[in-house]
Amino acid sequence: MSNPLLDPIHGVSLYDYATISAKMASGISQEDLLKALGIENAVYEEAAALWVTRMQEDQTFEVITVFGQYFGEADNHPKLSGLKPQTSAEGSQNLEKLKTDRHFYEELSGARIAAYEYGYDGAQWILDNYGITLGDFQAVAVHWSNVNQAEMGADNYEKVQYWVNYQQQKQAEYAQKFAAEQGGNIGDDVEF
Amino acid sequence: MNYNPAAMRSEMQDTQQRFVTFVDKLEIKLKEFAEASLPELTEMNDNDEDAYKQTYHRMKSAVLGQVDSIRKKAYDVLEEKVMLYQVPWEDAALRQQFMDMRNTCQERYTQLEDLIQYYREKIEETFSEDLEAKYQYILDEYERIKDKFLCTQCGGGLTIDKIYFTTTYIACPFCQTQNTFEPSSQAKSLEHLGRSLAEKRTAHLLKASHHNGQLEEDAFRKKHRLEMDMAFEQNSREKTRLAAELANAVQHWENTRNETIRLYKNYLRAMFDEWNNINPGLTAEHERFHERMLQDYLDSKKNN
Repeated sequence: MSNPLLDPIHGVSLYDYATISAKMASGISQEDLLKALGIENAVYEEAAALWVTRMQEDQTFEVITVFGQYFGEADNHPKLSGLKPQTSAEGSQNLEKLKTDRHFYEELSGARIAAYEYGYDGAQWILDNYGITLGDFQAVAVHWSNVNQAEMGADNYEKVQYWVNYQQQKQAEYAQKFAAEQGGNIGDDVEF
Repeated sequence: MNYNPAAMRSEMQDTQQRFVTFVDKLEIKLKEFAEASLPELTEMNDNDEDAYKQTYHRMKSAVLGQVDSIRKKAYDVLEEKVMLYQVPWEDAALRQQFMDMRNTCQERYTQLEDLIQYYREKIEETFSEDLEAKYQYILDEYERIKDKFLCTQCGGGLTIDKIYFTTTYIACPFCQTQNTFEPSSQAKSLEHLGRSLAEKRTAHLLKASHHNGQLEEDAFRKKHRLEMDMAFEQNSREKTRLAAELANAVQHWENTRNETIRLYKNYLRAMFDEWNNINPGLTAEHERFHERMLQDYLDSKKNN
């Protein structure tokens, strides 16, 4: 039996809500998205508030899990797939690479964590350096997270560990780079 | 493995001494840096006009990053020079010295970690947000605008009958035109702010529940220790005495546990009542969330 908490609210499906959230994180305006869906602002805002409450009351976490899946599939939404953020040619190329090249994805994930540790806005750093928006990055993150889950499900722990190590190695490399930009870490002159 | 015991003894002694001195120096750096950063962060938090305090949060994140760089540096040396030190395991004296070195260095590292944790908490405490003032702003704004909204069709005065936190249609009582009322960005934050404020207003009740939870843990440990003592006791007279003591301990643990649950329920009810007062528009939804949180809590108590 389907979960009634997944039913649309005022005509706004969970797929609509997740896609709008993803696209807005990529810099597309709510106004343009609602226009493409043919939904009025007043209707959407109430539905969005109620989707949050559905997630809160759902003890099974199904709503938030499905939301995450839809967030990662935002580009396949039948009415909203055509709305893309304005990105440079280089940004588009990098985004494609991010979807297919896991080394590149893990490297940027490590770089983003390191950037936050050094007081940079990690999401902005990726946008500035690779032309990839936060929303696009998160959508790809959902894809790789699913791949990771599948690897864990298949007991392929060696591979899972390989990617954890690779990301940590890249994080450490970027941490060194950011530290150098800021004149080093506070303990650099303490030698063993 | 060919080795020179005297040289290894000396090398381990030297490593242990150097590691302790190394961590001492790192601690001095940490204290200097953290003590200088704390007032700066507090000032930045107080003066950051941005609603999300982004500048402050970036700065805080950088300070935490630097604090963690000290931990990483100490850990890397601990691992490389101490933990991975190779001793001939068959040599009992060297093996013992290695374990002593490892324990001493690990203990010194743990002390550093404790200090880092202390400063982490201090750094987190520099964040403060005046939620009451933000809520008051929304209340004041509502008083200002509630009778000033006019119908786009006939110009008739419309009354905003409550604080709306989403864009809403309001029908004109004169010409029945549906007008769109869009709340300010502050008013739109009412639901989220309401929960944070309700949690803050009832934090003392949650603290009381947590405090009782500690007493419950102590009572559980005592019960468990008595159960172990009972299991290994051979003397029947002593066993009878322990059984009586255990019965009291079980009763005490159950009473304390029930009190923790009562205090948590009390907190949860008060928190949701506050939230409902602040944003009554979603009372039914809040109540379902309340049920879920309560159920989660009771389930967690069942499993412990």
